[in-house]
Amino acid sequence: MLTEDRELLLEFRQAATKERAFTAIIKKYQEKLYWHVRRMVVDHDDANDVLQNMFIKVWNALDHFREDSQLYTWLYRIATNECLTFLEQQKKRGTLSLTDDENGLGNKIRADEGFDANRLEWKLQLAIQQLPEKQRLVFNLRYYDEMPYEEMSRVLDTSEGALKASYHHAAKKVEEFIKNN
Amino acid sequence: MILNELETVAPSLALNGLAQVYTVPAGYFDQFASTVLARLEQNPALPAVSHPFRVPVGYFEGLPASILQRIGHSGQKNEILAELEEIAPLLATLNRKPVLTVPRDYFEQLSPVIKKRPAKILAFRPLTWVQYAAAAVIAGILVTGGIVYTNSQRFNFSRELNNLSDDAMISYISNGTSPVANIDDTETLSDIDMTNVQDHLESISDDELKTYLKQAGDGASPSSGG
Repeated sequence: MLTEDRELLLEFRQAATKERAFTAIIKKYQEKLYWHVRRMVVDHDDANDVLQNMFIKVWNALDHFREDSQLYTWLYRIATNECLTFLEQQKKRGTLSLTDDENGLGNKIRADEGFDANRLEWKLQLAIQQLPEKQRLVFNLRYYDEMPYEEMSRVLDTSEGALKASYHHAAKKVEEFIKNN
Repeated sequence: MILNELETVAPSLALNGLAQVYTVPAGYFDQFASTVLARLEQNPALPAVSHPFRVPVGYFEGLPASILQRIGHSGQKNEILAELEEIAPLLATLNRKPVLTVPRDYFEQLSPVIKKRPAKILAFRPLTWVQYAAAAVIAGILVTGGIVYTNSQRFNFSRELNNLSDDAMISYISNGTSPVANIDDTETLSDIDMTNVQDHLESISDDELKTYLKQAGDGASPSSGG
């Protein structure tokens, strides 16, 4: 484990420095985790809810973290599970359409105040939302977070081979969408 | 050897030998060390350098690994780019900076907001129809199992009757002695007036009785006397 993370863990496990260490962990990983969540749920308010819930779970569970992986791998795993849970709840409540090819998130992208349909970067966002959830996760983690397959397999609990295949398919689909739109 | 060299280079100097001309006070060198120590005590040397900056525990031990990881990461970055150029060249050219907007100062205020939230959250997840169905199936199995078990314990009159021997039956009819040890359903039998039964049986011919007994014996268990 990274030395700085190990030290933060030690401080977190002492009552006197617990809060300070927790704040330091949030500040260190908040942006990375925020964008990981935001790319899945799209809407900022939803991402904020998911992210806060995620860090509250971290507060409750960090004492029991076994350190068998990097701290950020563990954080990513919690954030990913929170995203999937949130999206599942959205579908059950009917907030997200099950029949919509873009999972209803394409409309949320178009609703962003900076949306520009002519820009390739926005087309990329729409293309990514076309992907199934798991494939979207794999694509985001590799394309944006540049995560090695070995780490990704710990985050998503999937074999490296399956992840490579998933990423290849996802990248081709995304490129195809951009070319055709 | 030096003298030989000197005789070669400057013979007149060699004649004088290597004698010291300067004088040194008696016992000078014997006292020298203690003299120096005494002076040090009077004017102590500067204190050891103390670093005001704190270094994280294990920093230097972990430094080589951290640097190697960064070197590895930059290699990883190139590998990811190469992979993308092979699969989807168009994506490799795009700017990967986030395009979705984030409220101003969001990250600055995030950690205080999280700290203010309650530490424990109770997540209530409504049961899905699958979970309801599973609960219903389990309940059904338990109830059905209970009913089957209860029925299996009830007294089966037909079964017990088939197990009776003809002698036992005749004895019962004649004497009123019950051949069944653990008959539960005595309420039904006690309602029957045995005198009337005997009267009815006396009205039946022997041939009819034998026919009945034979038919009953065909369906009886091997343990019966018939």
